Amino acid sequence: MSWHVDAPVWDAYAAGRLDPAAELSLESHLTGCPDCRAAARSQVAPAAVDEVWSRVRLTISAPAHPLSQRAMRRLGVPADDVVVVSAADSFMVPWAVAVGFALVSACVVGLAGLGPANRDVVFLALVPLVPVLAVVASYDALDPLREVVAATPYSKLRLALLRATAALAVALPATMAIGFVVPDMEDLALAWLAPSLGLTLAALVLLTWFEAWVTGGLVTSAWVTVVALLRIGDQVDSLATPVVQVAFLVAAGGLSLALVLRTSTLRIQGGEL
Amino acid sequence: MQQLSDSELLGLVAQRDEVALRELVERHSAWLLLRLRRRTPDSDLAAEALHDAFVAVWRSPRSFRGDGDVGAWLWGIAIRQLASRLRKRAQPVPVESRMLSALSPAVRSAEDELLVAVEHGSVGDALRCLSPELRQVLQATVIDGLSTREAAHLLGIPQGTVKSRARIAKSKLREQLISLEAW
Amino acid sequence: MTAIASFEGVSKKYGRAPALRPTTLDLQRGVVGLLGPNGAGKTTMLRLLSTALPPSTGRIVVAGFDVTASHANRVEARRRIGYCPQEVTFPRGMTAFDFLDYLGVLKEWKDSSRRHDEVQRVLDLVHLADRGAMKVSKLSGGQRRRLAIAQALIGSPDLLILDEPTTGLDPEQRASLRGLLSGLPGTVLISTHQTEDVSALCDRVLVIDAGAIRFDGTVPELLATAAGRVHLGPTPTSGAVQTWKTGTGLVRSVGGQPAPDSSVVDPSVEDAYLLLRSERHTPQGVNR
Repeated sequence: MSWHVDAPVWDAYAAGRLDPAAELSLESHLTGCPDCRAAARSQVAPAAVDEVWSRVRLTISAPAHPLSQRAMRRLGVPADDVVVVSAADSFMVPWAVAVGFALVSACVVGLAGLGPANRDVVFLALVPLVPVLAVVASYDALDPLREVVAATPYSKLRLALLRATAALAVALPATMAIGFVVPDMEDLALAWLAPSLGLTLAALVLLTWFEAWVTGGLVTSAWVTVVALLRIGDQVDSLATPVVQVAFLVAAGGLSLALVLRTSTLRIQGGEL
Repeated sequence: MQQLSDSELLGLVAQRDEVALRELVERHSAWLLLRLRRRTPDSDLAAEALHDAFVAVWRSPRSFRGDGDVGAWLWGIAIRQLASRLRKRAQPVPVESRMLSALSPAVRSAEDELLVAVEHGSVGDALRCLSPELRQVLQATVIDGLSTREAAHLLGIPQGTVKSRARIAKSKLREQLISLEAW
Repeated sequence: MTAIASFEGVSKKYGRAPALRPTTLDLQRGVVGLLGPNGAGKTTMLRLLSTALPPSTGRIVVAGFDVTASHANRVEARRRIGYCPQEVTFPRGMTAFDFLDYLGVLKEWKDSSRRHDEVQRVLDLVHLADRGAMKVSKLSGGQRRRLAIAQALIGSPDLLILDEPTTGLDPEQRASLRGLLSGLPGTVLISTHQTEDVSALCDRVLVIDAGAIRFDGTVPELLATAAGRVHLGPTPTSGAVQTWKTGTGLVRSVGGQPAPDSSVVDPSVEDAYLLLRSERHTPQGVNR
């Protein structure tokens, strides 16, 4: 190059005092001349460059939102709830537990070569527990950050419910599918929903007293026992009758009330809310 | 970091090295800002366009083709971010990475090359005879290498006007150059 | 000065084993160091204070809220507490920024742009400003430790509780952490094995052993308990708690009956600590 842009020329350029032809020639000269670009630094306040950098840094380090998060936002989920739900582990573990259990249930019911009556029993014993396990796994006992989270003001119940909802959003359709995919299950395909609602709420109430794994064990064994006893008495089909279904819904209502009462009066506990 | 070349820094940026990006920002912000400010009277907007440009670089550093000048590539991104900001002041539209790769050294026609060589006196004299409106269009289309559409956004005039002004400017320039040579 | 936090007859048992014997204590502004061997009850004390763990007996008051009384009080207290446990397991796949953003939400920073600014501020404080976009799994041990500390700094809490914050940091990082902690306006409670941390940083020292506080006072007060009891000479003193040969060939003895040819030297915090540990049945220092 025959010439270089020094500070006074940059000065004139910045102020718009440069002759139009000189302005064009300066700009075309900049391509491939690092020295002249560097000379421009004297014309710009360092604070302006710092400002550019700090804003760039903030933009690039702020979380990039993957598809799932954008979808949640579009469904109207508040931004801070999206952050909570997306905290990778707390979302994936309950999801995996629920879907995994749903798949195992489906396989047992569909492939184990059971007679029709036993198939109903296994179906009703296992499937309603899928949401229960999702909720239990969502609870803080399985959170790697449990101790850090415990010392924050955020409601632990809200945290558990958010995670459980996220897990259920995936687990429920999977569970529903079992009823429709496994042959001859159509009559029970929806019968499990009311018991499941009752069991899930029972688990939430128990979580205010017990550790997550104790709660999961209690609810699971209680329900399996009930179904087994019904089987012995040959009464399994009664679970699908309207009366029993309504009874489960009433129980679920009562349990919701109990949950609200428990959470408002709770003292310090292992299962702190 | 300071001894590395621009394209080496881009390589590090591709490996998510923020320090390398910072060095690029330090190196190029000043001249890019000055030049952007010559394209818009709003210096905040110039800074925002520059911010968008570096964010675009962070997101797709590999769209730079290994040859050519990183500075020119950066300017191509920055001026397009400015045009896009001007189009939708409220909502910047990110420049797609496909487009970024297309930005590597623009292929100029012989006529443009001549124009770019304005440091040679006669072209400079010819340019001086153009009206500011015609010069602006030449600057956007030839020096900044923008498409008609992008130039229209940047200058805030219809695309048809950009095309016609560019045509007039180039023919006037040709006339001037011929008359100057003959002289 | 009013206390930011206090223990009133607080104890904790795990099953039958006492982890902390009934303890009464006030914490004011400044940096308080909790010194003690492994298993002495340091972590239990910090977890109790952070409200992560309920006490077996007694009252804990933080910023005027009795956290043992109600859930509402605990929430109020937690708004003023920053807590960094000894071990933090990070969720997989998160970036440093994501992690702090998540904790920011849990600390009730609802507005995302203000929260992002706060995240960037704490990243700056622990010198991780350039690592925000990096996956936590790609960070070094020291960087992860600093990230864990950064989450405790979100919102500039009145009471900052750090369990072994200097473990895993190199000397530069430790010095820079000291600089950060000493400049904070509120109360900082740190546990440590490292006696240098205490002498360099702490306004007050608590020595805890077997679930009980053995000493409570300033660093000079702690040093005073060992004055005249540390000797340097050609031979070890008889009945010394610890003796070791120094670089000069002379033997440094902590405690015991000095030989006639040895001379008294200034004790370090470590000497005082070793002496206190050897006299675990006689409580020392000023109880505040």
